[in-house]
Amino acid sequence: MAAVPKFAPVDHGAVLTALVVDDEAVNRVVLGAMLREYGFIVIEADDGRHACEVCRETVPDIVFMDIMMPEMDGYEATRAIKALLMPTFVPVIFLTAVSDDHLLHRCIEVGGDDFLVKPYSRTLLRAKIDAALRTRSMHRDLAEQRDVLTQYRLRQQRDMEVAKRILDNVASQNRLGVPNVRYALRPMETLNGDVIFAANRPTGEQCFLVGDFTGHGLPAAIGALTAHGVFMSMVAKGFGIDDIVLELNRKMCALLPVDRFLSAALFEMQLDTGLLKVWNGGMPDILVRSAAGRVITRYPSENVPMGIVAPRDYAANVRCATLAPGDQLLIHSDGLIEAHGPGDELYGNARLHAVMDSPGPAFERFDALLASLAQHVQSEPQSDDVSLLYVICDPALAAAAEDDAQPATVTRAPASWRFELELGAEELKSSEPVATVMQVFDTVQGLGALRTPLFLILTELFSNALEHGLLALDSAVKHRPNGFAEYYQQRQERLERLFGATMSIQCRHEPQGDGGALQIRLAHNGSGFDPASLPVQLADNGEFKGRGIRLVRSLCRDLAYEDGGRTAVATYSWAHATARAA
Amino acid sequence: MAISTAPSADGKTLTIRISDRFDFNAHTALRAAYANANPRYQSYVLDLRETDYMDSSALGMLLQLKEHAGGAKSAVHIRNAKPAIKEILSVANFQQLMTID
Repeated sequence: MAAVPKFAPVDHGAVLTALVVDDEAVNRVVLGAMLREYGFIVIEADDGRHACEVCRETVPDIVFMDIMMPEMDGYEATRAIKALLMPTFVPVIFLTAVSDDHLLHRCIEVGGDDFLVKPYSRTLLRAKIDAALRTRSMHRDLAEQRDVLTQYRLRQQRDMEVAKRILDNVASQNRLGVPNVRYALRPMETLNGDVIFAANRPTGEQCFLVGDFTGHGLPAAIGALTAHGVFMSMVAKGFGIDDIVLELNRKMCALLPVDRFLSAALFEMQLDTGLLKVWNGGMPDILVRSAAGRVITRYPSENVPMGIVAPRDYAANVRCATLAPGDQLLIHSDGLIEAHGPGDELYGNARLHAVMDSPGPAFERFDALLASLAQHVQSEPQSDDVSLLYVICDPALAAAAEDDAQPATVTRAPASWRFELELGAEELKSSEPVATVMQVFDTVQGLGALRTPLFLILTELFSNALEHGLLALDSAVKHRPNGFAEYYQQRQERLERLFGATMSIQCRHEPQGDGGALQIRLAHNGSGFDPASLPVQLADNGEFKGRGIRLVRSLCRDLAYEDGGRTAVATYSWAHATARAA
Repeated sequence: MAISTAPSADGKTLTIRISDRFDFNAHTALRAAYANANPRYQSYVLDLRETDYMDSSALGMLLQLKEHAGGAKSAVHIRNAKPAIKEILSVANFQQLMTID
């Protein structure tokens, strides 16, 4: 190359190709020579149609187009070439002798990028080439970025959908499809930052958690997965919501970064007695609505959400109450109150209360609430996850809500083992030994399969020893209005003052027949009672006193009292064939 | 959202004002306002008189600020919050974690 070009039209190391379209050979030669001098490889075409054929073979980097040509003119050729090379951007510069404004405008209209009126100077030609190549390289960069983003978005969407499927599988383990429960989960993105968990304790109480993670998407979903595992396994093992709250807080503190936390409301409900235990940390007020259609109680957030306060400084403030048959609970995330309609107006507490504080059957009101939300939001995009849980305390629905799963069977060969647990006043204040004992049963002998009866037996023996033997509580309190709540309040107060008490739980297992016999010996140093005063039959179920003990008697092969009522000895038998009480 | 800051005369306290919405969009600007100060401020005042809205990610940012300030309850002081903002702080019981008046 004789003359070193002042600028080199190379792109990613490749020499650029220019297509010159003109029916006059002399024009092609003159322009071609200039372009070669600049470093272009030049291809020539003597007509629009010929140019189209060339473009089918080779994609040029720039096109110089004459207007008037015999077979296909420059306008038509430009239109065809642009369509042919889509989505690649190839600048087309018209070279023309006409200076009519309309004809020049038409060059741009058909898709041309610029025009140059003959005669033109070399300088002007260079300027036009520079501008066209700059636009071309911008187009290419944008297209590359767009492709990268599209790829990324598709991959992310696929990942999200897989994650969602995993979460849906996890969520299907929740006991939400029971007759006394309705709920709605409206995630803003594919993955929900709100969660609703539901499970039954071995003793039958329904336990729920409605939670709201800071943020949405993947980080929230990972947190939700962990929280779900903790909740489900602890409820199944029979832990109360206070223990579950402490454990969840511990887990969330360990897992979540400083600026992330889990706001949640937990409650457990006994459908037959109406006993309710509630904990609220960072969620909007939990509403209790009476069968008559009035909001009668609200449980505001009294706790810091989970994952903020170090476990040693965290306490679970659980509230107790007794619900009347037909009472309903509504728990919702703040996405409900903050759902905005057209004009940025929030759904707000006033609308919520207008719906809840009106007569109407429970589930009709739940539907009315969803309808009122839909009417408010209309087609506005959702700005937060919205979740609602509605639960009715209806004893008539209790039977249907019972766990209908087939009982699992004990598979481990019966063995000989024993252990003893000694608890002082401080241990009794801070821990719930029943779930711990149950866990040992399961670890050693696989008795988790018999969780329901064993848990009931342990709970009843433990509660009796603690509440009547050590705390001297009177079950008659439970008969009063709101009696259960009052009873648990007294229990809490006396437990806090408990001093010098001891309790021992001895468990002993021996193989027997096709299964085993488990003896539970629970002794305390409080006040005893006359075992003869206990009713023996379960038939009279009318009063609460002694009811639990009758239940234990019905499950056990034998129940005896020693040491003036201070020691209870219960013997439970199981067999491989049925894995049920003999 | 706009963030403005004013150090106290003794250089120990930084007052931060946030206008309009205090949400995830404030994250970078808020961190920039305190994270690179040398020497560090001992305490922070968040003056929320111009803040109209706050979401849970803003609560998260308050927790980050508190940690940056050493974690003491007195290290972050929230002032002049409007009732709607106070409500959000109180539902999360943040009065147990920082000074709010």
